[in-house]
Amino acid sequence: MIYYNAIIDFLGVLILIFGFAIIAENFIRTLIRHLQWQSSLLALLILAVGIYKGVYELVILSVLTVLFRGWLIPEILLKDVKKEGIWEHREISTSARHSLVIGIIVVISGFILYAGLYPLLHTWKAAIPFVLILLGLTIIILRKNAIAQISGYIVEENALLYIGVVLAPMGFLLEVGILLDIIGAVLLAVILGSEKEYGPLELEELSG
Amino acid sequence: MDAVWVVYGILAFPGVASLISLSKQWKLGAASTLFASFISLILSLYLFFQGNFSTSWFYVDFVSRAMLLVISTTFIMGSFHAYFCMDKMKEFFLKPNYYWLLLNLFALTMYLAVTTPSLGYGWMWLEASTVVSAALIIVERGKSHIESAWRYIIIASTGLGMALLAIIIYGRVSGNLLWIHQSELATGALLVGVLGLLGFGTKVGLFPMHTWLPDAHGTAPSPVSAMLSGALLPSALIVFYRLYGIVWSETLFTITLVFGILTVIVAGTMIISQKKFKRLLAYSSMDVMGIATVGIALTYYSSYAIIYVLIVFGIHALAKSSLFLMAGTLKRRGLEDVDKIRSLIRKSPAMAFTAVVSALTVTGAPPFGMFIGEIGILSVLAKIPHLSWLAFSFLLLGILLSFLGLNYWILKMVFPEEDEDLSLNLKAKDVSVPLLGSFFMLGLTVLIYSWLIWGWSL
Repeated sequence: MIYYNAIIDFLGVLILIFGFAIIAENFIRTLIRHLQWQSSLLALLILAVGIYKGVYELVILSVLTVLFRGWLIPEILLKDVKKEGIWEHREISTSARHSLVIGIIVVISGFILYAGLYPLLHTWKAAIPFVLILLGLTIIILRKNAIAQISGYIVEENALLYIGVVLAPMGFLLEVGILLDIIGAVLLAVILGSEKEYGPLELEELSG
Repeated sequence: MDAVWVVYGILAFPGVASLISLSKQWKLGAASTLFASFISLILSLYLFFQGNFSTSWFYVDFVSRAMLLVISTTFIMGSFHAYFCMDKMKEFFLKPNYYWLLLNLFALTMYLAVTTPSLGYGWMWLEASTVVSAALIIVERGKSHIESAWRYIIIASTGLGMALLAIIIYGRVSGNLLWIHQSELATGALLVGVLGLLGFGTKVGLFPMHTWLPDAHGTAPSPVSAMLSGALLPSALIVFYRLYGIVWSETLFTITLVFGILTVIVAGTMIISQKKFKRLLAYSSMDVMGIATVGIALTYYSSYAIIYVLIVFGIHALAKSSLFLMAGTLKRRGLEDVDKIRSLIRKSPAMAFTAVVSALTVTGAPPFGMFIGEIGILSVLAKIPHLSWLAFSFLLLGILLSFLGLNYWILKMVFPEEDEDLSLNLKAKDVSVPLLGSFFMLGLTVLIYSWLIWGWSL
């Protein structure tokens, strides 16, 4: 039990650190690598919970997570970045430095908010993914580049699976994971399809 | 016939049609989709008059039965109009047969979302509908389609992420994800309700999470816009209604009411300043969803309010689908801006009739069906214990704004101006589905009045 808690906490802290790395990174290639690491660590965490709790759907989910979000999506994105010279280095316009400051504020606010949730959930294990959800949302809102936005979306997906496995580890999460991966794939297809026809997808604002 | 087999039938026909649509012959996919949408409508109509039942996979009560009918109605209208206008579609980004495949899958995901007894699966089918409908938005080639689809997936999926968080917390607190046979949640579960409202509200297009809605509705092919507006938004609201029934808190009632009223007012204000016809209709859908959200909130005080919400959904599905299909026909003739469409009554009386009747209906003008739904919701609102006059006044203001805004533009489009010569070159097939839709809407209005006067039991 002590080892299990220590492993979960250790992996959780690493996942949160990569969340920060993603929010602060404005080099697209490095950003994708951070995403790859975060997803792989999440897969390890899901595997640990799945084995410890005896929920074998979670073991399958961890395999799918590492295959899809830890390998396939990042590799396709990296291949795409190599092809498009414009994304080889930095984002065209970036707010990454400001994002880091806002990210710190979001994390502190997230922990304070979570303290209000504690009486309902009776565990601190979900504090890290709760904060990570807010970080993912921050990335999506603050960044204009489609690849940066997709990484924000994947951070949020990772956080949702993380909070799911620590709060309510049920087989249903496997289906959720598969569906979220499909959405990731559709987003990727939109990016690639758009680039092929119209060049990099840079959105000025996410409003009507 | 056992009712559960009818549900299997409703699901099986679009399922099989989507498999047939994988064939490279798009006409085969189209024919199977038309057949599936027709049979699904017949089966939904049959099921509507049957009793409630539940299995481990389905929970079918009056709300589900009405929603199946709403989805089937928009599905059949969308499918037939799509078939009639297939030759007018721009170059395909995806292969044409995928269009029919996706239309079937879109209907299928909504059918599943409104009949499941599990909040988790309700969420999952709604999220799946996001994927399918986003693919339908980009079915035609165009940068605006891609940007709209991108915004839609990012915003709707992020919002639904909040709803998933609510469902996970609910699973933690209650030990399962079912919404049936649940007693009220313990103190502190208000958070589940608020997260659910924010999450599902994003998919419904409630203010301020509505920003994806005008773009997606505006750029999607018109049959898809009709299904998005007439079926998907109500389906998302019904999944929220299931969650709302479990949380059952006065605070959540107040928050939901405020979100609903704000949505109506913002949509009513935005309608006036719109330049594009389909975006105008998108804001009108947002307005109707705001009214329905107020109705859902009011089920806290009167369970009868859900009947008015379902009346709103039923009439809205027919009226808004007719308007969107009509807008699509005009858009394909280069008439996208509301101030460029003129003298419809001279050029196409059928289209003018559809536009006027549908716009009056959708804005709640008496004696059309939506009026009954809106008056019902307003009358329940007037009876709530605190500040009912304030909420009543603001909701009425929003309804009036959208009434004036939408009908102003529609009347400008319909009635002739001097020296106006507009050549639309319309064929019967271009206007047949919207026109039939408006006739059915009038028929439904008569049925609703009959139900009110003679108290038909459903």
